[in-house]
Amino acid sequence: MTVRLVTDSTADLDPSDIDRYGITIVPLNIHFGADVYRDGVDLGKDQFYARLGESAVLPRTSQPGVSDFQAVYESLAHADAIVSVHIGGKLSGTINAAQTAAKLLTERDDATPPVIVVDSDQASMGLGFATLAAAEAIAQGASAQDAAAAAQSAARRSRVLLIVDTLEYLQKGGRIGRARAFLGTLLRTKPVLELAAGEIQGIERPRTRQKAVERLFELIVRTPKPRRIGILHGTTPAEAEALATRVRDALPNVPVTVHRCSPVIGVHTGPAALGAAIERAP
Amino acid sequence: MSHAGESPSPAQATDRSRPPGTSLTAADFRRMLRAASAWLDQHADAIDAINVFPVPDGDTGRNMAQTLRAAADATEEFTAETTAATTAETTAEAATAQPPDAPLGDLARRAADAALLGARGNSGVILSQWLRGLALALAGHAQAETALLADTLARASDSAYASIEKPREGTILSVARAAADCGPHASHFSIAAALRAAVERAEIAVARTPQQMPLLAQAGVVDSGAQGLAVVLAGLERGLSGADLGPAANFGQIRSDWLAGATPHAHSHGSYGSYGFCTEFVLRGETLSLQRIRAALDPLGDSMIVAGDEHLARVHLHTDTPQAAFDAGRRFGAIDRCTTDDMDARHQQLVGERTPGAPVITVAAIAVASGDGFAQLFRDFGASIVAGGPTLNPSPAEILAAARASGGTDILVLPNDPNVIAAARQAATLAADSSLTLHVVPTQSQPAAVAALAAWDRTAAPRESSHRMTRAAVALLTGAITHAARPIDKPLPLRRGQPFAMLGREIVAAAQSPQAALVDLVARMLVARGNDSAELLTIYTGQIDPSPPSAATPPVDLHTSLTAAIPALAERGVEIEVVIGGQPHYPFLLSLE
Repeated sequence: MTVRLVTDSTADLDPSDIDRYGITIVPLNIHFGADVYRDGVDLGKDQFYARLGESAVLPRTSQPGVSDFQAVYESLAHADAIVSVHIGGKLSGTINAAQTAAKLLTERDDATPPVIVVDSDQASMGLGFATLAAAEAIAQGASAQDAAAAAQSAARRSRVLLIVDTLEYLQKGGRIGRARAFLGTLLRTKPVLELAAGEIQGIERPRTRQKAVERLFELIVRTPKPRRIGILHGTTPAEAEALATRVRDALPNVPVTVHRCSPVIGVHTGPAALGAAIERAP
Repeated sequence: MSHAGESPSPAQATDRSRPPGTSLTAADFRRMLRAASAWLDQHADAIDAINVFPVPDGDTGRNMAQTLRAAADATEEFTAETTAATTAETTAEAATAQPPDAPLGDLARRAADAALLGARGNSGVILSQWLRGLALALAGHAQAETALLADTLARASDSAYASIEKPREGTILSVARAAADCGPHASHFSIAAALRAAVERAEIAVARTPQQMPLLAQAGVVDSGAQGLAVVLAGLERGLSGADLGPAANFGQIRSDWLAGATPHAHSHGSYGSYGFCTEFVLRGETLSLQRIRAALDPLGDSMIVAGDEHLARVHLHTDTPQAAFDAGRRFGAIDRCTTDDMDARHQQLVGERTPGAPVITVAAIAVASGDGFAQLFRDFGASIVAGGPTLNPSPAEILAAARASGGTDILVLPNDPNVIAAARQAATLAADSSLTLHVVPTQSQPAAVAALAAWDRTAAPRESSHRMTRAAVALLTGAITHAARPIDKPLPLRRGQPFAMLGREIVAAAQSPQAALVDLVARMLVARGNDSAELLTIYTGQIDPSPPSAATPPVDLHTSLTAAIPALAERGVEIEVVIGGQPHYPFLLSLE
């Protein structure tokens, strides 16, 4: 029984994990004006963040097409089953494209294997941990159903925290969610946000970056029963490494990795976003 | 009709020569409060004038006078109501019939309730608690003999002490205690004589306040809250004896520092410690002993607060065994409004594992605002506004009204002035009977409230929010530029109207213009930060006063002139943000974080 795993480019997975588990990544698209790039394929993270700073127009993102998913699923036709874990449906239409493609393949009723599509309600390493949980289950011989359940469970046990320099990018990109209440103060703030139930929500609004980072650290280390932690950043690798070091010191038994956010995430958070994904133990 | 006619003595209420043994009646008490209120009104300006702290807000005399007036007005209403209710039935009764209820106790209770709701400023709150003590002692009594009066003054004193977290001598409290000292032997005397003795002891206690409070001694003054209570007692005595109120005394050179005496210390809740549940309940009973309740709960957790009286106590405890705490409470009385918050619950909630049975709470915030700019900033941060008015001293009733209108079940209250914190706490106590829980974040200034609101975690339990917001407010370095409301010599000489700078609540520099004071203050704030990082300086500009031409300086110039005058700002990478606060009295309010 061969079960293959698919996710999308917003999972921010470490390349070594992608290789080890043979995970297929479906890229989302980034549009700078009329130019369209496939995330992580035509446009690397370094190039993107350099352009994000320079570009006068705010880049936009778009979900993969149904045909992209069909092509991926067809390419995995040798497998007995496919588990496809994706960015939350409240943040992106990606999940719809995946579901439509899976349905079309089923209706075609040919030799393609059954596809189980999982809406993680997560993004970045929140999605990454869900995907890894499925990969680990498959590696231990789990069925597609069990692997999908493992992904869902890990997604529910994960939280993604985020600090941004400005809410402007989230607002313009239409992803502000319940953090809308944090808009519109005359004072400078560095909002601390959380991706909760698939939606951005405001936690609090410290007025300096340092306080925001301090609060982020507190929220990370006070999360009960952490199993693994991913520190997320866009353009501030040194800050992310420093935070990771502090978290490792505070939680010596918890693996802490550092991930640079996908441009698709970066478009919506703005350049200086810093965050963390924490998977709690079951 | 008044109950004076039913007293055993034929003495008329206005008789100056009250024979020994005459009882104190409801009519006497009503007249005493009215007289004390009038007497305090007459002295309010004189008491305000002896405030050594020259900030143009929150004046002791006026606050106490407003509080006492609320009590006196309530007794008039009460008398009007009971007269209307009893006239019909008593006309046919014999004059010797026992009064059917306890008019003196009821009247005192009504007065105390009105004072609790109408209290303004710290001194007003303490005065209202003193009146509450009087009412508790008089409860159930139709009239009072001398011995009861002595008990009453003792209860009043105890109640005043209990209202302050860290009672200090050399304040209004010392006067309350001194007045109660007319005590043990008083029963040999008439009520009038006992009250006169209380007044004399009170006045001695006022004179001693400088010896008890080093800050007062330094300035060579007495405490104004202490002076205020002595005036109240003198007014009560005059009301009883029917003496002419006469002209107000002038306290002349006597000055005092109410701030030193009555600043409530910051909420000293530390971290949560190791206990997982924040547990609260209300106990009702007839003879609750707060001490015994504390003793029973102490082994179960920490961060314990047990507040209230014999009839109603509010309990707050961090514990791992909420049920054991509830059970312990039940041994003392009827238990009500039990809540327990799992302090980790919010994390679980956010990952989809809602704790079953967790109470449904909606957290709201209300902030006392003075100035349109601040009101808008507070609203932007999600708080409702309590209009502070020109002196920023709302009463507990006004705070309660705003809390009710906020739509929350748990309301974070930001008083934003040292002189409003006690009123906010009183509002919180008064709300214990309702479905609202008020959490006072003892902010001492409006910039501190901005810092507190910035640290308001929307996903946290209200008590955790309140603790975190308090820490954020305390950690903030604040400053203010204002004009001297009156001339002073210490800690530095100021002419009336002269601009000066305050760091926190301390007067640090005088200047020729608000702008010059601002430059001086910013430099001092940087020094005060020491080696700690300084990231963001926020300057809140005040209401534009049209008279001094310099006040029209556009805010953009502030940025340039400060950077030019203080190179350390750029060297330390401090960002400067200038926003319109619109506050009266203070051309600039500052915070450095």
